Amino acid sequence: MKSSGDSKRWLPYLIGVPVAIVLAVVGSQAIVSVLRPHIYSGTVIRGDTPAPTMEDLQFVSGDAVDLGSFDDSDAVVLVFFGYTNCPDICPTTLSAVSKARNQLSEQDQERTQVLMVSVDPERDKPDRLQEYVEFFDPSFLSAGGSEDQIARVASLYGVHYELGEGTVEEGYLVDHTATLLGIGSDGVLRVVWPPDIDAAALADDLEELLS
Amino acid sequence: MNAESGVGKDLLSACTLDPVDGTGADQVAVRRDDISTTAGSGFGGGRLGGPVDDELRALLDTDSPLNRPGDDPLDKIAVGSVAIADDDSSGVFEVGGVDSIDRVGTAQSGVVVTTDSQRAGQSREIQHGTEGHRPGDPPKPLHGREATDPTGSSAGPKDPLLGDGLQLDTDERLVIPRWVKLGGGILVAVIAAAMAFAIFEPIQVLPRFSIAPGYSLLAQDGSTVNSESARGVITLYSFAPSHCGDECGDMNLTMAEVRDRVGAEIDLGEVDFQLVTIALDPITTPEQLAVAAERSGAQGRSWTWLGGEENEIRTIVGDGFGRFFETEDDGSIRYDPGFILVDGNGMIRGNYRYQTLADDAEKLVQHVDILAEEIRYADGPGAVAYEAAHLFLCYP
Repeated sequence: MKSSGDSKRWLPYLIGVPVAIVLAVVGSQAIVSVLRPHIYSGTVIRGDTPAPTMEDLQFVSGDAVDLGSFDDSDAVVLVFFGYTNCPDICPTTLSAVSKARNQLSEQDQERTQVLMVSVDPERDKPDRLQEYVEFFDPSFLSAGGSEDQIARVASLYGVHYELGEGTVEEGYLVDHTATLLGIGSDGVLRVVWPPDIDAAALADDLEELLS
Repeated sequence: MNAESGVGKDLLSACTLDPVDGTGADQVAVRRDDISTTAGSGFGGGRLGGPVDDELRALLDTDSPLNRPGDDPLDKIAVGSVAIADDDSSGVFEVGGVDSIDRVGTAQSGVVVTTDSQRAGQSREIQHGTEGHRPGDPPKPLHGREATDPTGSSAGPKDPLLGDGLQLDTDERLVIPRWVKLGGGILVAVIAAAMAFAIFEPIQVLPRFSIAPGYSLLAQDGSTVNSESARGVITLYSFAPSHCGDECGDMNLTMAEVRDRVGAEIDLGEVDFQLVTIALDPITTPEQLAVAAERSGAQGRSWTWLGGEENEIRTIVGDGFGRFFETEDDGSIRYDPGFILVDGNGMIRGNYRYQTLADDAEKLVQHVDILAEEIRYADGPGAVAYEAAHLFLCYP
């Protein structure tokens, strides 16, 4: 005949085992999320080569683009090569970047600088270019230069572009690599995001990059 | 010898060796919450004989390695009886007729003893109090707990330390909850798995050095080839003057061998592979490239010669790919032979200085295999493993 003592003996196990299982599952999930590397939505470069210089290019102010000046503010610089007459991928990308930036904390927003380089110097004069990028976010910066200067910098950032047929008056398209490039606060090109980046995923990546 | 003992400490970490009946060291009396042993009944009388004496004496030795805090000083010793006295002898217990003592320790309220019960179902928790107990008083507990008795009865409180199956628990021992042990075990397992991953490198990857330069160059068939056409394609680049003759023979042989062996030995799946040689001298016509291609053994679309103007080549090869070359006054080109492996995302994954031996092909083929495997399996659940491999520098 079972005594009440038998039930009491098993009671701790009846309660403790399920609790232990739940704690183990939750705990292991927490541990894995801490130990697991952040999976970027772009390609991470683990080398330490400094990002190619952009000093051949100029801001709308006429000042040369000095990536080192962003290092001083411990900022991450997102570089995008596009043009103002771009019908789709450029506004889509800049919109996504703006949304992602707005999802960051105020402090992280201040440490995130977006820079668009025009691959269409013929049509994208400095004022027009800056007005274009500010439409997406007042903090965005733009840069341009001569054809040779832009061609060189673009090549070093893995960007290929090709002007389509047509004149300025007729209009033309520019085929261009639409990747988004992330330069870390250490001045090293760290992440290359593909076109059609998702804003939420980019925000997560930026938080990781800024941490 | 007289030393301190107290709550939580090994009962016998300090002891006073006083003969009890004057017969010498055969008997030991351990005061102040320590234990005295008797071979018979009654405190202070009799002696223990044989091996038990020696063992008990060793335990009482403060220098004995057995006598450490937390040890069970009388663990598994068969003794006839044990008398327990506190420092003022206000409480004296005699434990008789037990087969062995399991644990001995001290509690705030006094001495606790755990015995190994030989009689199932009988246990007691006894704590010895120091108040109101005088030498010679019969042993008494401060409070006791009747333990489980399979027969339904329980031992009476009459002589709590006498009789069989006393089961006392010390409360000084650190008890680690099982859930803490389980959580700790999981944490250790996860860390061990991570370390094993980093040490044994079940997955190897090629490092992502930097981004490959963008370009738009002339091809040997007269078409324009740009870097975007290499998206999704593993590309092995070499660099040489278009008029390179026998001096480029070995390097061209290596390229050819890599092309043939990758095709024959590696299952690329849906991944494409191509070879590209970029001419280091200024190229103005596709015919220059066609001649170079024929001389080098470059055939078909799997191996293409590309060329362009001097400034373009300087930017692409010199600055972008980081390869040294210099045009001499006589038009000859001094350069650093080598290969660069680029993945389908435009990332430089390998930078190989050319050796004079053709064993470069072996390494190149192996690396193309590693890269192809990463491309095939790095999506979905494999992404975490491959990113971990990059993080832990699991390079060949």
